[in-house]
Amino acid sequence: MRILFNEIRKLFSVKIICLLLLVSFIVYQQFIMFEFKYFPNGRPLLDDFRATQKMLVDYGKSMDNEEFEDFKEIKEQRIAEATEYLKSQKEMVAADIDTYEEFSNMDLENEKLAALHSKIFFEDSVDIFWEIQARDGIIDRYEHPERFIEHELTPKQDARMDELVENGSTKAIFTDMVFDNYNALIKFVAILIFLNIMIILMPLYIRDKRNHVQLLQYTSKTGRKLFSQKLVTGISAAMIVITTQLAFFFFMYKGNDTSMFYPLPINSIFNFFVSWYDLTFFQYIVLTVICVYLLGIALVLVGAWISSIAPNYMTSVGLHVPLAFLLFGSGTTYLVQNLTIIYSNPYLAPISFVIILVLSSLLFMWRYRSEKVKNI
Amino acid sequence: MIKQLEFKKIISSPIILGLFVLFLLFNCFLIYQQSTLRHDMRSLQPIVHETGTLMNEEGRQKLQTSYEQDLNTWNKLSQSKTGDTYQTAVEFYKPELYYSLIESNIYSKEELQDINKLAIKETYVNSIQEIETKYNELNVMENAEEGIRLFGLKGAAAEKVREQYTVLKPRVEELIQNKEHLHLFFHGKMFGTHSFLFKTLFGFMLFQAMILIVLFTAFIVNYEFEHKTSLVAYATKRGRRLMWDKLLVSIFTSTLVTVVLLAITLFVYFMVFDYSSLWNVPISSGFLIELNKIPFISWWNVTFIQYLLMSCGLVVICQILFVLITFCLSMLIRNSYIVFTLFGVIFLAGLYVPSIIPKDSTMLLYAHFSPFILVMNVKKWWMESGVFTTFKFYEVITVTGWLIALLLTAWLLIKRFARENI
Repeated sequence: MRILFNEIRKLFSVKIICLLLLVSFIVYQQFIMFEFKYFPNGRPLLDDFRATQKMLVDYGKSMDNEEFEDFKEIKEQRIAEATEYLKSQKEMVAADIDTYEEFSNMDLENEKLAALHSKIFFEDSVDIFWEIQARDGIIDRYEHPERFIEHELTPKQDARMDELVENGSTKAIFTDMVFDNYNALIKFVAILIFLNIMIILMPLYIRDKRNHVQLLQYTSKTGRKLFSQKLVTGISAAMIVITTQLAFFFFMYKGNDTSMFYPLPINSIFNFFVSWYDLTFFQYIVLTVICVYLLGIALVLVGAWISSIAPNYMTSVGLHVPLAFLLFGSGTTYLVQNLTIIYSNPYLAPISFVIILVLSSLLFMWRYRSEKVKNI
Repeated sequence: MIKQLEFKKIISSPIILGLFVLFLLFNCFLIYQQSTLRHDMRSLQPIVHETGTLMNEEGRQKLQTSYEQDLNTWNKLSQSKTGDTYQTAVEFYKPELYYSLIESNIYSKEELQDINKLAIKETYVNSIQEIETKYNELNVMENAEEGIRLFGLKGAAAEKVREQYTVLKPRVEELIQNKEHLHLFFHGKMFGTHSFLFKTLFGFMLFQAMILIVLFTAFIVNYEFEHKTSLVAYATKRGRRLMWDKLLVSIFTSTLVTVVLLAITLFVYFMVFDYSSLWNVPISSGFLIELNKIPFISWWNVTFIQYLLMSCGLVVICQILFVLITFCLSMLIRNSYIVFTLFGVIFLAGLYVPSIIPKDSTMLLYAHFSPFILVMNVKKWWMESGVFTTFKFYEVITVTGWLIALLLTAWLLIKRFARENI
């Protein structure tokens, strides 16, 4: 236990912690803050978001046909309000546009009318008009579930789609905005976490090798055990990093104010993502978190292996380059971002995880056995 | 002798060689993915042989007649086969007719290739008029205003941008006068060669060379410290001068690595894609315009081959800048993997800095004079490149400025090292 504690202390030196903070800061600034700051990104997405929130309050988890009628009713009311507004605007009346109908069918090729159009939307940014647009979008999607019905996929995928339509989960209230936003965020957070793990584990074995203390250690039985001890150290360090990073991330994510979406099913007509399983948004989040932890462990195994075979830091960093390329690219895309997506085989992710974990453990075990009897 | 040994340290490390080969294979894979276009691209050469690249009145006439002849020949064939005649070659590809024609196997493979070639020729013919109108209507000042509005520039910064675009204006007139825009080149909207070559391929090569260079520079500068031989090596006066050798070797090797990487990748690229008889086409040709419809306006009348060589040269110089940055970092921090990470942080920070500068200060524009931003936009080197970096000598000023500053820093650090207590 004391060895473990001391080893962890060695990994988290002040210098390294500063470096980690610096890396995290710059990655957050460059890639992550945007998704926090501009959520929902502009209009009418903002209005879409507000309308969805109102739907949730009014109708509960899903919207049946009756409630949909009510939803359309509200839109009609808004149109009436918009007409009122247009009538109160002198220039609109002068241009002979005094109902919403006329406004929406306006000839935008005409410069004068286009100017009026953009005045309402962009200069005065009248909420009602944006809201009508957003509601139109929602109604359009609800009325057109063809995406779920007309498709040419494999029989299994088709069956899944039909099942979703039949059990009514497509009528759930959800929004792709929230989902896409989370998906974009978790990718960068995962990349940041893996980057941190790589930086922290780089000196795991190399440092002792460089300082030639292995000559001292390996003459004793306890010393030989250090090799596996260090792996435990690496995994603990990775756990600390992942947990801290995720805690910070979810603390920031709370600011996006999406908590009301947690208990909702993600297979909704309002979401472009279709899953093989009936997951709620919260379950999906938990799933991504688990995957980040699993990939983190696999990365520790590979990183430890690299650190143990590399004669110097240059080789170690060099070996990390292709690893990072794979992990940050397709690794996060398929194993963190698009989990259980219907367009890929349902067994793809679990099998990949098993393969990755088994291979990386074998890699490490192989090294471990040769290290145990190594002549120094 | 010392220099040779330092060089050997780099060259004999398997990881540098391994990564180098891996990068080359990756580039070849990228080219292979793109290679489906090579066939259609090749149909430009016969056209150029017939008419030359310049599409002035005469060239256009030639192209038009040649196109009409081909169309006639085709129509004779189609009339004898199906009784149809076509006004344009594209009509052949109308989905209602095309699929039944293909299914019934009326046309042989060669004949289908002929109509494909004809359709491509037609696209070139039709594009000429489009390009001419586009350039006649082109108003760079409007583009500047658009950019200023888009990025919310104000005050002095906006003024400076307008000033730069005013300088660009006579160049556009000259370009139209020279008819640079009317030279035949691979159709940008169909093939996107400029983006693939100068964005994808050059972008990857820049980063690949950068990774290798940062790795070995950090490695050899701190070699003695990592091998615990520093106390011996730096005990003598000659030993302290080792740093000069290391710097020179790093610069030499970086140039070597970059040149070889560029040479092999570009060799493969030009083997796959036939650029014969197009080397001397001006890079500002209107045919290069891609789907985003933004014209390429180079600051000088340069041909494709000149542009390519200029860009290669700039890549090499950029890599020297990265050597110097890594060298300076390594002189301050004696741990090569922290240097590597810090380099990455500095790179990202260089891209981040402009976003925190107020939108009305000219500092915002000057913050773009950094090698990090420079290497992110190879596609628009030596050209009008958006509001932030449209300066006539943007590339030259950036690299010379940084080169001088970094050389000075490196020199100071080496001087300091000569008397440092270790």
